[in-house]
Amino acid sequence: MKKNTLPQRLGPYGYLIPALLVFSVFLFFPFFKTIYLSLYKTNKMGEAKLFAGLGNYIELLTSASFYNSLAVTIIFVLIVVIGGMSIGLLGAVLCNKAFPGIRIFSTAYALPMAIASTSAARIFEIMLHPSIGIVNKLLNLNINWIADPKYALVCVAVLTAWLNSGINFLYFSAGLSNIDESIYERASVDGANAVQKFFRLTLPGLSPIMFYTLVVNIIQAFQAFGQVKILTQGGPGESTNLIVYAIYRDAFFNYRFGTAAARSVILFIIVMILTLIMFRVEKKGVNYG
Amino acid sequence: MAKVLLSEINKLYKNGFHAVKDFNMEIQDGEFIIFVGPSGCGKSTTLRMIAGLEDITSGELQIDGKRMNYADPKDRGLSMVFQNYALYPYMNVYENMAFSLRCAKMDRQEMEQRVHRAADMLQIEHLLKRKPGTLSGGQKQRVAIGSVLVREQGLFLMDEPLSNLDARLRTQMRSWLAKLHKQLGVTIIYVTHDQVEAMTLGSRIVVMKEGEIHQIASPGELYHNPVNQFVASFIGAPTMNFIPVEVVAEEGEIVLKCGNSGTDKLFISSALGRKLQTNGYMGKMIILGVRAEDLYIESVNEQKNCRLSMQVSVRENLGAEVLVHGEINGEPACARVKPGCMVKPKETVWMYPDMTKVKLFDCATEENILYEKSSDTKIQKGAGA
Repeated sequence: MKKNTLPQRLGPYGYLIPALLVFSVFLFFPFFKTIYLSLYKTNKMGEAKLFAGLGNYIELLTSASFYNSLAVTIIFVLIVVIGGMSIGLLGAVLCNKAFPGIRIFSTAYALPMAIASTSAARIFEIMLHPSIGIVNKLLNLNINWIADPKYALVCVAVLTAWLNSGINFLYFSAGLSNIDESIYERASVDGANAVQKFFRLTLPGLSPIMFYTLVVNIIQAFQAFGQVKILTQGGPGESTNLIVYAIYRDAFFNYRFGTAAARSVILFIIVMILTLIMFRVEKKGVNYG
Repeated sequence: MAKVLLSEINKLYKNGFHAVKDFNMEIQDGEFIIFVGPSGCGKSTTLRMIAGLEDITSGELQIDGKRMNYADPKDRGLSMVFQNYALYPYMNVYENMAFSLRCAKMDRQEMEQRVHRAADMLQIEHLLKRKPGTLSGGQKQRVAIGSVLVREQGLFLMDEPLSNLDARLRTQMRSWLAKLHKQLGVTIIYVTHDQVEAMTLGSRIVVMKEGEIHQIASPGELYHNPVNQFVASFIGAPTMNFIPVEVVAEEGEIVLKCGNSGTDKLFISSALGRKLQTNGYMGKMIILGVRAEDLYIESVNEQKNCRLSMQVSVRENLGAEVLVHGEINGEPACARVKPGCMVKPKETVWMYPDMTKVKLFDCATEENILYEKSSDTKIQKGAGA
């Protein structure tokens, strides 16, 4: 057999170069640079100046502020994931039946997907305004939603949940259309009520897409930034200082790129562990029919 | 056991499509009723209206004497097998069969008993822990029927339950279904477009077309006494041959002349001749309907020259019999002859119809001129409409 010439052997790798190049510049390099930076003290330009070893990590893990941002993030993620998925699922179930004007409703439920988090934050800012906001007017309350540490986190989380609900609605709608209509008809004849149909047929039928949506939502929720930046800037106090916002603050306000990088690495580890756990659990709870 | 009464049932869709028109029928306890007809004839729609899966536009549905037009499907005392079986993909076979009982909050012990009894009867005990996705077509079919059995209702609805099975399995399941019906004595309403299923299973068959009932009768009655050309063509395989003939008087006798050759003619009884004469068919074209098995290669009638010439195009040897396809006076025709018959393609042969079994249809209305209203058919209001 004739041996392949060198260009022939290298050919296949050549096709990988463009993708690898993009990944290298925007993914691999920043990733390793972050790990590198997390081991150093930096100057204001973000250049590594003094090797600190695990110093940045030790500093973080002993600071109350870090644990606060961790706790805030966990609450935030819970509200966003549960809220966002519930709204999406509810919308998808409601729009799964044909009725007049369904397109208008479908568009309305999917719309948040097309709205930038910053512009949504601006709109919420106006809606939540203590004196002219529609929320206070409608509820006849007098609450300074964004400036009150009790409500600020919930407000940002609800906004994010709503933003995520659009894409969740789309995922769930696709999942629902995959469920065979005739099993609902059989269930009607079998005597199942709406609740039994939902829990025994719809939810198991949605479980594969539900799992995927859960993973994506958790990762997205951990990375929420724009709405915090616009609405609360991490405040009042540190009540909405999510990890990602804390990273931003550390790096670009306090010029402590080292600790910011260390926070990033910890965030990465948390998300990775969660994802691994979810894939482990998936095998038990997800029905692929 | 259950009695079902459908009176003046109509289904009109919002887009104006009239799917079922004035459906009238009374179904007795323990009958095996078949709705048969081509696609889109309204048979499934009617079944779904009985099940409560479609609204009834007008008319009245009674099950066991109670008006059920607006009752929930679960309150109608019936169970249903769907065309694609509609097994719950996430539940195993046991849960599938027990689902309706669980919905009815049945006692656990009773539920287990019923499921095992049905599984035993259907020979699916060994499949109870399997998921539907791992079952073969025939097994799924049995599970679907098992899910219906456990409810122990008096009325079973079946929507083309055998159409997804291969030919051999279908034959097996067919005889098995007939046995099951005998054993349980329940009322079954069964939708199919397969006339063989209809003929072999049904105690009465409802032949439908474009939303209307054409005839309700027993299989034998439908076969031998079809109300019109559509019913005659739909029931029986191969399809009945239809040959246009002219009713003429020759030497004082009334004969049916086929084509212009003068040699292709059929002699009819004087009683039939009188009937055609009084009904004004003299000199007019009518359609002669003759089944493949009633065409003979040798004369079977008194008059030896009562015959039609057939140009043979294809000879199909089925082993026990031979189907000879060809044309009679330009119309496609098929004869079922004995295997020893040596007719070959491209030959022209004489075919001798058994004149006691032929049907005659009006050219314009397609109605059977020889149709006899029998007691069998009289039960229905809509029959023959």
